[in-house]
Amino acid sequence: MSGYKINRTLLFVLWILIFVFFSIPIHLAAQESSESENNGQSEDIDALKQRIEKLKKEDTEHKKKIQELKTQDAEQGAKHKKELEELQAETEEAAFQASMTEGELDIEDETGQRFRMFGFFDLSFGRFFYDEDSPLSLYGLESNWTFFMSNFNLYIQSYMTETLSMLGELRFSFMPHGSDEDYEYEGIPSEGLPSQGIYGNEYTRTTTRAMDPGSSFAYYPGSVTIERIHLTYTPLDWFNIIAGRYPTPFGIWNVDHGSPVVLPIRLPWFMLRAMVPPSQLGAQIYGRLFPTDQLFFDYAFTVSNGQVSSFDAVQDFDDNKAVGLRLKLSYQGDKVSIAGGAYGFYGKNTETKKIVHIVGLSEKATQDKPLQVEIRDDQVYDIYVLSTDLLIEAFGFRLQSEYIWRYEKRSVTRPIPSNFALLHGASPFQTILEPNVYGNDVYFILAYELPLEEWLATRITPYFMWEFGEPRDLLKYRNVTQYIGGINIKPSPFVTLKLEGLIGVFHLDVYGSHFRAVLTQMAVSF
Amino acid sequence: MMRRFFIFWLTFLAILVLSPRHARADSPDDILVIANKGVSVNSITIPELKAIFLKQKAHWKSGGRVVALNAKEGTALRSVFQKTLLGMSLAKEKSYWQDQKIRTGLSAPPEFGNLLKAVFSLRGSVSYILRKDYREGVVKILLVLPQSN
Repeated sequence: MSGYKINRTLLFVLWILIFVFFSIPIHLAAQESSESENNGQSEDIDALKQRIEKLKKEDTEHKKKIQELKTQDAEQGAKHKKELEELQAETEEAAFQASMTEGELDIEDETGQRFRMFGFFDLSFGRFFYDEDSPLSLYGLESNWTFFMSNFNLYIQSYMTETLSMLGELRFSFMPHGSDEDYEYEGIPSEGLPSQGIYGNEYTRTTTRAMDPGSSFAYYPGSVTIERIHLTYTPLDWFNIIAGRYPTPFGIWNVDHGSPVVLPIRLPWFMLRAMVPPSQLGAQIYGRLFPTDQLFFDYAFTVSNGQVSSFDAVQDFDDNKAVGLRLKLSYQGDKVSIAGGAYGFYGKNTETKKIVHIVGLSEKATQDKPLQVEIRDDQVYDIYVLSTDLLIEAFGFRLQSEYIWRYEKRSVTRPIPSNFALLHGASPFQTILEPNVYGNDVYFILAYELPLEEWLATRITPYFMWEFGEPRDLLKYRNVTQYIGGINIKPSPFVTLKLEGLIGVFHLDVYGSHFRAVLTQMAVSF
Repeated sequence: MMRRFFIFWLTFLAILVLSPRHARADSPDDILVIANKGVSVNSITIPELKAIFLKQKAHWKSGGRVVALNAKEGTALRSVFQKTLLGMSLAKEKSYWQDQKIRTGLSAPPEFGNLLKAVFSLRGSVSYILRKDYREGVVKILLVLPQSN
C-alpha cells in the first residue's frame, strides 16, 4: 500500500514536474516568441513613431509654409487691393476734375449779361353804386357791370455786369381812348366860357380812332407810360445808386404797387390823390446795414425834379430840386417779422406859362427886339410830405398801416379851375385863389392767410381795410372814409383772384353820402 | 438724513450735468452749406443764410458779391432746404419771387444739378449739398444742417 501511495505521490510529482518542465519552455518559448515578437513589434513601432514624428515634422513645416504662403497671399492681395483702390480713386478724381472744369455754367442773371422781360396784368369785373346824378361818374367809376383792365405792366431788365443793371417798367393802357373829353353844361351858352376854361356845350369822349389805309381797318391805339427806367449800380449792401425815373421809396403800397402783390383791388385814396409823388426823375442813393443777422436798417436819399401837379415832373421849371429821405428798420424772425419806416420829402412845385410879346402889340417888344418870350411863374408852392409805415407779419396774420401828411404852402397862387369852383358850389365866374392846403390819410389792413395750403394747394387770405382819407384841404368834397372787405385767393404763384366789397362814406355831401362797389379781379404775373 | 439726501441728489445732478452727451454720428443725409474756396468767411448763421437766399443781403461780410445757388426744383434736397431754412412751401417761395420781381426786379437764385461743380466754379457762390456728395478740398463748409433720421 505504501508503495502505491508512493507511486501516486511520485506520479503526482512527476506530472507536476512534467507540467512545469514543458510549460516552462513553452512559457519561455512564448516569452521568447513574445519577446521576439515584442522586439519585432517594438521596432516597427519605433519605426512608425519615427515616421510619425517625421510626418508630424513635415506636417508642421507644411503648415508653416502654408501659413507663410497665406500671409504672402494676403499681403499681395492687400497690396493689389490697395493698388486697385488707388487706381479707382485716381480715375474718379480725374473724372471729377474733368466734370468740374469742362463745359460752361449757364448762369441766369447777376453773373452774366442777361436780358429778360416779365410783368403783370389784371382783368377786373364789377360796378359802383352811388347816388343818381352824383359827380362821382366824372371819375371813371363805372355804374354798370363791366369788365375793365387797369394794368398791363411790362418790365425789361438787363444785368450788364455784376454791379450794373437796368430796369424799366412800362405801363400800357387803353387810355386816353374812351375817357371823358368835355361835358355838356346845362345853362351855359353853346359857345362856352373860354375865359373860365369851359369850352363848348357838347359831351365828347376821347377817341384815338385811326384808319389803316392799307386795310381800312380801324385801330384805337392806347398809350404807354414809363413807370420806371433807371440804371442801378450795386457795389455794396450799404451803398447803391439809382439814376433815372424810379418809384419813390416810401411806404408799403407804392413799393408793392402791382395788382398781383397788393391784397385789395382798389387803390387807397392817398395813392389816387398822389399825396406822395409815386415816381421821381433824378437820382437815389440807398443801402442796407445789418446791426444783427436778423435786423436790417434801410436808408434811401432821393433828389429829383420833384412833383409837378399838372406836368408829372418830367421837366423841372425851377432850379430847386426836391429831396427826400427814407429810413426803415426791420426785424426778420422765423415766424414773426416787423418793419417800420418813414419818408420825408420837400420840393418846390413851379408851373410856368410862356407869354409871347410881339412888337406893336406889346410894350415889352421893341423894334430892336421885336419878339420876346416871357416865362412867368403861374403857380409856385412848397410841398412838405411826411409818411410813416408799419408792417407786422406773424403766424399767418398781416397787419399793414400807413399814415401820410402833406402841406402845400403857396408863394405864387392862381385861381382854381372853374369846374372845381362849380363842384365847390361856387359860381364859375367867381375867382377863388388856391389857398395853402394840407391833407392827411391813414389806413389799416388786417389779413390772415388760412392754414389750408397743405390740403387745397391754394393760398386763401381774407382781408379787411379801413382808410380815413383827407388828401387835400382844397378838395374837401372828396374826403372819404372807406371800408373794404375781401378775399384773396392764389391757386398758383402766377395767378391771384380777388373778390371785394367796399363802402365809401363821404365827409361832405357834395358827391352824395356814400358809394358802394362790388369788384372782382384776376391778376396775373408772368 | 437730510444731509445724505441732499448730497445724493447733488451728486446725481452733477453727474447728469457734467456727463458728456452722447455724440450724434454724422449722417450722410446731413445738409452741408458750402461756399467757393475764395470766400473769406468760414462760418455762417442761419438768419444770414436765409437773408442771402431771399436776396435781402447781396454781399459777404468780408466783401465780395454773394451768388446763392439753389438745387433743382422738385428735388428732395431742395424741398428739405427750403422748408428747413426758408420755412416756405415751394408755391409760397415762387409767390415770394413773383412779388419781388414786381417790387424791385429781383429774381430767384439760379438752379443747378451739380451744385458742387457750380460752387467750385463760381466766385463768391454759396449753396448746399448732402454730406454724402461732399468731396474734401473742393469747396469749404460754412454750416452743417443735421437731418434727423
